Amino acid sequence: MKINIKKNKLPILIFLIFGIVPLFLDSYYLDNISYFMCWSFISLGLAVIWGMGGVLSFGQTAFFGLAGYSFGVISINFIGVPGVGIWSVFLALFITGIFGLIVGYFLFYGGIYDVFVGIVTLAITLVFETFMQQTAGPEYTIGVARLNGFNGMQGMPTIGFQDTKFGLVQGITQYYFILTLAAIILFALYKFKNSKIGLIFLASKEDRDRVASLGHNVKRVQLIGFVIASLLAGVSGILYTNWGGYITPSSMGLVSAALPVVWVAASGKKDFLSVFVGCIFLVWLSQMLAINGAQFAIIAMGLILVITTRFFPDGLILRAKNILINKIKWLQ
Amino acid sequence: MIKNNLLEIKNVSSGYGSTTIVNNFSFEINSGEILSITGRNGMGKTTLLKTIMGLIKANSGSIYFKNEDITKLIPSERSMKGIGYVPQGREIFSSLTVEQNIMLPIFTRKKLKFDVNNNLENIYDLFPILRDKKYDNGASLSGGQQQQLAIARALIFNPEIIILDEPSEGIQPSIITSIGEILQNLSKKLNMAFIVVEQNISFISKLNANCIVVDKGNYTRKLMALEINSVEKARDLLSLQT
Amino acid sequence: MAKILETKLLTKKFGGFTAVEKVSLTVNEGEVRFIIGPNGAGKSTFFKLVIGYHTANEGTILYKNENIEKLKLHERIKLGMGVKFQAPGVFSELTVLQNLKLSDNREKSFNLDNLLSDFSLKDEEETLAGDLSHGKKQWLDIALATLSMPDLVFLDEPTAGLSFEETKKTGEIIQKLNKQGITFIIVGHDMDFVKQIATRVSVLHLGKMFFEGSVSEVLSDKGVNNIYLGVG
Repeated sequence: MKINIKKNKLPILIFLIFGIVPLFLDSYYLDNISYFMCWSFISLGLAVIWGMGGVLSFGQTAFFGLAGYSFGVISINFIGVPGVGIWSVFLALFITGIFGLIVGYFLFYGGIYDVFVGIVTLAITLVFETFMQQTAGPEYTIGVARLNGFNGMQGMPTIGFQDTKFGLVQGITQYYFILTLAAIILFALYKFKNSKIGLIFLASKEDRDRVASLGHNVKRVQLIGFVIASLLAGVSGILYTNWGGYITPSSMGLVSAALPVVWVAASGKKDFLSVFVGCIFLVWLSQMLAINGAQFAIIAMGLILVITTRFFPDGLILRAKNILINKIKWLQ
Repeated sequence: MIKNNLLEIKNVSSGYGSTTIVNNFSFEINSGEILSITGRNGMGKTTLLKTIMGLIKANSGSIYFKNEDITKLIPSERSMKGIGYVPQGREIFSSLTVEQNIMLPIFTRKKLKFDVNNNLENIYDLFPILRDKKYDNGASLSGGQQQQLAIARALIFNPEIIILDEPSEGIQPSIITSIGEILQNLSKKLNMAFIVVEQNISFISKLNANCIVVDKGNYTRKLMALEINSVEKARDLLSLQT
Repeated sequence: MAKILETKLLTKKFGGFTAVEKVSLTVNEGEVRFIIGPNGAGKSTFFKLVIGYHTANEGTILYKNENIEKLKLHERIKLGMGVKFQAPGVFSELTVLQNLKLSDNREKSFNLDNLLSDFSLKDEEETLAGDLSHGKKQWLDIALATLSMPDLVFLDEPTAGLSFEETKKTGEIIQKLNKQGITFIIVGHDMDFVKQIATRVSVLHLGKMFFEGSVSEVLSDKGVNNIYLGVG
């Protein structure tokens, strides 16, 4: 069944709903939804590199962790310096992007394709996690920031405008900040998908050689997609670190590396809105199930992956979205 | 009355989703007969062949092979009954060797009533380049050589009927001629039937076979072998349809 | 007549197998040159060497009198080449219009509407390329090779799977584009097609240049008949 994704009003409806939800929920639930939304960016990044580009990367969590730790190290070292809550974020993202560029360069210009990308990126992620796990000793300190090994790094300031009440990204500000950021990024991604580069990237998934034979530098375009994905993973990493005030190596473990793949596959990797909504839903579901034991949630995620791959290969959420759009005319 | 046709297509309609491409199509073919099918592109020739093979479900109508209703059988079952298929675009297995490609249909057939090695040697006689390259990967063959391999692969298990979709595509003229001769040879010697979808009018005219013309998924007319036994006559009669 | 392409002793080996051996060939601007020969003669490999899909083991390639061996595939294309491979090269999951947008890689291009009409794709802009019939896929593939007004276009079996009338029409489109300044190098097996549009024919056999001449010279040569044309 070919799914043709056309323009529709659903995104507006979704964001409207998310926008008025704070009127009905207290801060505990809002903070929870903020938490779920933190994860949507790493998923969107995977939707770019995998859903659009056809390249399954397990490296998203590496960039997630790198951004989180970079943000932590920089902001802890410069607590009190004016604007630190803002420029530390940009600097951390910049660092993440550079690493995305380096890793992507070695992958695509090194001729690594298909399943080997998954193997190489997973290896990078696990090496990073393993290294960070053993940084518990006091010698592992960058400036005044201790990496703290498997305990994780804490003590970073909240992002935003320091010394203001509503300028800090926490509470309700955090909710609307993340929501607005998601809306902007979703819009930008749609623009990317419909742009010339987006088209080249999309076509490269199907036939790299034909794209090159039409005069396009496939490696460069795939590198661009990979860097975009790494930056989006970085956004998740920073927001997550900000939300909880800590970042640990386990956020880069094997399970953590696999989860975004499950979320994206189950949601519908070719559609950004489905991935956004699906990711939030699945993280919420995991949290609900984890009440009965953390392993229970992970097993459930595995089951969801198996069921979706077998019965809804285009994505559960995407399938639901299409049915919804077809049935409710005023959404079109 | 039991008919003695090898293959009978009766009022078959099929298509993709809600679109009907093949419309109420009927024809028969006997053992040892060669039948060509032609028509413009997009007129449903490939769809018709795929329906006969079972790759596309028939929405209505029936298909009988040796008087047995095979309309509901899946492609592998139809193949096991003795129907060979050479699809458009070759579809050979690039990571298997030439010989493995040819022998593939044999792996699933247990009781063979003929000498496989004999068949293999005969096939290599027909397509000498395949003998030269028998241990090379399918991917290393040129396009035209792959086409020869696709035909060879359908011949190995002595099917009673072989369906070929544009077998001359991409093949050099001298081999196209020999393929035509091979088909005629096999139909006489082994009583094999062939259904050949083709656009190459010169090839059709040399097959010494009747020709069905398809237009918009419909059976429009049947030309007798004698009417099209020269390229000029065939072109006159067949190009009018395109 | 200016030379648009010149190869000198071009050679390509795959392991122990020599696919193209010391092929020297010159094509002038404005030609419609056919390269014919038995299956496996090295025609497609020769193409791929010239456009940069394969790297040659020996020999030189001059495009508009400049050495292009160091350039990658997409760089050579940007110099003004167009190519249609033997294997289907349209993007099945994209629409016809999206496919054509992809082939726009230089500042200049033919008028899209005219191209769509010429290739009978006028009402199929939003159709997924994978849903097109075989013939229209071939034409879309050729359109992809020619949209950005290249100077030299390589077509590998452009009429495979096309009917007699469609083949004739393809020939007419190629001649029309040829008059507008595009040089063509075409691999094909349809001798009627060759007779219709070829200005000169090169024959490859077992990886080597076997014979070259006008259409009538090639068709009447005994050697060519022996290795390729057959009795037909």
